[in-house]
Amino acid sequence: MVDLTKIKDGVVGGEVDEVGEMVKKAVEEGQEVKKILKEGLIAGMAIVGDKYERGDFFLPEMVIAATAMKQGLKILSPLLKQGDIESAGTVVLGTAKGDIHDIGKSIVGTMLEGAGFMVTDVGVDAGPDKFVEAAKEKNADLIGISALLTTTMVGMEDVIKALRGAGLKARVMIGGASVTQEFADKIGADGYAPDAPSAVGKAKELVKN
Amino acid sequence: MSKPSINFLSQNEIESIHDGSLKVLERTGVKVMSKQALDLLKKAGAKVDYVNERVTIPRNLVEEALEMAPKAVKYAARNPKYDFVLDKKKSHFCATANPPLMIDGETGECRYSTAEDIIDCLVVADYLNHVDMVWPFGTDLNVPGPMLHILDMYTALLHTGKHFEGDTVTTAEAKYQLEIAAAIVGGKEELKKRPIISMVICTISPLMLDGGMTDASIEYARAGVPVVIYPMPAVGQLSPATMAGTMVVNTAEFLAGLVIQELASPGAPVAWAPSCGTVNYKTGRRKWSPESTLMSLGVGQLARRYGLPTQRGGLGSSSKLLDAQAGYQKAISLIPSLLLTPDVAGGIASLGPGTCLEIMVIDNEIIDYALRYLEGLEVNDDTLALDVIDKVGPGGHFLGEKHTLQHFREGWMPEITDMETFEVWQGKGSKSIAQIAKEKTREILATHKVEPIPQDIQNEVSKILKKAEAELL
Repeated sequence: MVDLTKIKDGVVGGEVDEVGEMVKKAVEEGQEVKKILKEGLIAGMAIVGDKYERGDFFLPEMVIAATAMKQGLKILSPLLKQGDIESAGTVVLGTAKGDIHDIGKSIVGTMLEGAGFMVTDVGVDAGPDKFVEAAKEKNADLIGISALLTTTMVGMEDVIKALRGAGLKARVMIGGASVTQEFADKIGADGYAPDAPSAVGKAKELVKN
Repeated sequence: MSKPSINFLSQNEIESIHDGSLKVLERTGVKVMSKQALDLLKKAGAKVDYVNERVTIPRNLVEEALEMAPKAVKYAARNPKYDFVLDKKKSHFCATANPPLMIDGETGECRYSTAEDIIDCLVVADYLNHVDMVWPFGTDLNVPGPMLHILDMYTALLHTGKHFEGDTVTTAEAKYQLEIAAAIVGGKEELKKRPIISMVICTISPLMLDGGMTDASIEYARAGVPVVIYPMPAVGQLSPATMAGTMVVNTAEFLAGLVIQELASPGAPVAWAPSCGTVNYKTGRRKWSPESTLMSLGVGQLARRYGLPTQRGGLGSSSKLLDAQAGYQKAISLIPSLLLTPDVAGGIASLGPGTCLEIMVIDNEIIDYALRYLEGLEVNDDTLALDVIDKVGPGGHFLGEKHTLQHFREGWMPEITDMETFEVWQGKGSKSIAQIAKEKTREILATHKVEPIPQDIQNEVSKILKKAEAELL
């Protein structure tokens, strides 16, 4: 029988293929899907988060661990029943209209998934309509908007207006090189985070309320 | 004069980076999000996948582009006394600030820039003898997006007589910027001869060229106005976690941009601004480091091999204060990078996450020291001074000698650096360099007058701006 702690260790060590194989085998062996998720994947990510806080792990370890976790989750997802998976929340992420920079957003997305959020990425150069459509379709709890350029940062306000105009109550979080808390407050965003790791904490805080 | 200089990568190492970049272009290729550019590349024999906007570039196109690119590029200025040439002989300096944030030297706040901040910075830049050109100092967030880059340029040209280099992200912006610059300098042909502006095209590492910027750069190429190709990979994040790999990504992106420029307009003036960054692995943000200076120098050696002008290195600091950290970071990142004479080094006015008005006089002083250091020294009969040594003899002194009178002014004299005894310093008010910098800044703002653009030209530009607003807003 696959030892679930080995799956946990594999996530921590960022062993993408091995985690995938072990999860597949554990499923084939008839181990409880919910248990594999909780004791293998989620437990692994909890350790990763802890190591990051303590300064032992950095972004490269976080990202590769989250990738390993997702590899396992890919196999489990179709098998999980409604209510089995306690999602931390549903998030729609995108880079603002006119902007094609996406690394910040992508890392935030990967880390949110690692933290148990369901993430839909509407991609780059995304206008307000794209955000609204995805938010409606996924019944999103949280919208994340990213922009690197100052010229595209100003378009974030349009997204917020469009969401409110459509009657959507999802919280909005923003980020980007030139974004500050002051700007977030000015345009009516609910939250701001200066980098991907703190974005996860902020996301958790925002969906709780 | 024998000048200090540095070459630390061997010829083999430089060739490996060059060869590696050619391999990347041939095997991996780049994504070019401009149909215009893809058409130019296809026509020249590159293999183009229009659906994915991917192109692989054969080395013969690179070699032809390197051949065609001019080895000296002129940067002119509204005030012709500030014209200069990028010809690898001398370093010039750019105020490359960090819009849209300001670090307010008076209040210590980090806030968004205002229109007044931008003008103050331009006036001080116009005054300082070591500022040769400027980038936008701030961003007026009240200006509508489509007009921003056009107005950034015009505001700068209004408030300084020096060369302006900015962002241009669409064809329309490029057309209006070029039209306004031509109006100021006396026509399109004059602008080609004396380009008072240049534009920066930032790649998106790894290996991507933005559509709007590429199209804009093609407009500039056709107008004969310089384009600076500015790759910005980041070790471990936007390029491999090794310096050489990052330098390869930088070079490949540059060469792709260069090929497009030379295909659009053979002989187009281009400069290379290799920015090889490092990141804080905790947060993913770019960070100051010795590695970035090292990589910039290494790429500088490769640029020498190509014979092309570079804009690289400079005064970087992550401090948020006019303090010791700002001082040491700026000085130790500037001086090594100057040892291989970049045509333009940047960083004046940058401080941490934003722009700082008051730090400019400190930047100016650091550059002044560096330039004297780089001048080197002369060894000849006169400077060996054997006759004077003999004349003065043991126990004498040299202060009254004619030889001393002839030479003593060659010694470096600081503008703002305090070197007094404790008592004298105390007597003058025990001032910190931050205080001195603030006072000097206020003095410059109170007394320096920038030569204005003649009213008739301003009127002409107003008409062009109205046309731009009508089209773009």
